[in-house]
Amino acid sequence: MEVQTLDVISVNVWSILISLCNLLILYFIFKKLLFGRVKKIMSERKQAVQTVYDDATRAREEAENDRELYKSRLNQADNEADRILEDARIRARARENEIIEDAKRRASDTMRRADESIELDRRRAVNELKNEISGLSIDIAEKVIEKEIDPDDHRRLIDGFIDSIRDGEK
Amino acid sequence: MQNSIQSRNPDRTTAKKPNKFVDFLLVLMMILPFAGCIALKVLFGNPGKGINVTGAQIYFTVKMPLQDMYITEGTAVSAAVVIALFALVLLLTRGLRRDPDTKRQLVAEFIVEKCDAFVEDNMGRGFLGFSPFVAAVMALSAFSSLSSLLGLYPPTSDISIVAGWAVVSFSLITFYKLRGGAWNYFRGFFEPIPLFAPMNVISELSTPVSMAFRHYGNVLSGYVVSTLVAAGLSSVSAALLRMLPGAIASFPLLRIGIPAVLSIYFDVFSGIMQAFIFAVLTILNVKNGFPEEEYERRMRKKQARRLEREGKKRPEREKNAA
Repeated sequence: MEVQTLDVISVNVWSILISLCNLLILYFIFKKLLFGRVKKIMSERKQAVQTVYDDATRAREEAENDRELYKSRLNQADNEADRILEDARIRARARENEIIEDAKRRASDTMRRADESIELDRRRAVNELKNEISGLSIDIAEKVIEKEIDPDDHRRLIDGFIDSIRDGEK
Repeated sequence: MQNSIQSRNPDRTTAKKPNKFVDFLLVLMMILPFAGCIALKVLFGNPGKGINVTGAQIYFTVKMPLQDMYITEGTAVSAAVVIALFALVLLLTRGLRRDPDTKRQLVAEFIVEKCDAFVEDNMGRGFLGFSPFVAAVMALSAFSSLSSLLGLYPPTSDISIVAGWAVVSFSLITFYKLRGGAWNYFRGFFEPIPLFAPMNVISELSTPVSMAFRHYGNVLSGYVVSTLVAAGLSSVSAALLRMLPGAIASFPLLRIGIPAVLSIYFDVFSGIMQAFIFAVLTILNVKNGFPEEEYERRMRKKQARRLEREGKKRPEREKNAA
């Protein structure tokens, strides 16, 4: 059988056309089946990764917000506590003063009452003494004069005397 | 490893597993076309008649207008390459998942990412649509050249086949040049002075021709040199072993090993290199030919006109609404 071959350099329009079509077919195969599919998968993966990142970012932002909130709340609570303590201190100081004042007042009252009662006692003692002395002097005078004198006049006399003595004491 | 991933993603266990039988069929689909080509070559085979550098064998001739259409070994092998690549693509993209757990998906993604990065580096983001084309050209050219490793006729050493690709490449270059406006493209031929017009036309047309010839010449020269060296080595070994008796004297001792080294250069290295160069030349020519400023200017003008038209339309619409 005779074997036909092409020449080493031979240009054939149909060969060119066939090979051109081959290249185009292969291009479409690559585009649709390889690049299209792979890129779709890759973009899906990118999307998924992006979602995860977004979630993480959102979670971190939320955490940050919460932290701020708690921080401010904590500050608020601290201030509250400070205020309460301060209040209590002021109130305690007022109460303290009140108690001290009260005690002072009571003490001075007691002192005054004591003074008064001492004065009363003294006065009573003086009066008793005066009576005693006047009685005594009347008795003595009766004995001396041996006559009844008008006790009232007498008493007046002695009282004036005692008063003069007291004046002298002073 | 698969188990650990599946246990981490319990919903994955419900996803269907790749069917091994389909994988097997696809692998078969990759191998069978080449086996068929080898069978054709053997069926139509010409018994070794020494050194004989010719083009591809013609299997069938179809009467067509303009020129007869030849179904040659090159045509058959390039069809086989396309079918095999189709099967390879199907194999790589079977069972793609969002969380890759197969090597083939990693390979597929690696190819896509590398191609995109390559195109983006050389042309910029706007040309990312080129990456499937670049991948297709590279794969078709490289595998066509590499088919010579199977003892087949590499289709890339037929100028008609490479010329087909060059025509596509030239069409792309011209298409992108025309995006700056037909007048702009036409005017480009008369620069710097109208006298240069013939030279500009020639230089324009020489691009695809030179691309085709470069690729074809490299592969063909490799084929020719390999054939010559193989033939030469057998005569050298015959001269060396002449003293030995009987059949041993005609044993082509030197043909063992040495042609393999040449084949690594001419078939593997040169084939892949030429595929790469062809793709790079295509994208560089497209990129350089693309009148970016002119294109942007036109786009801006177009947009302004559109806005103007919409601006005119809007009052009418409002009037209608009223």
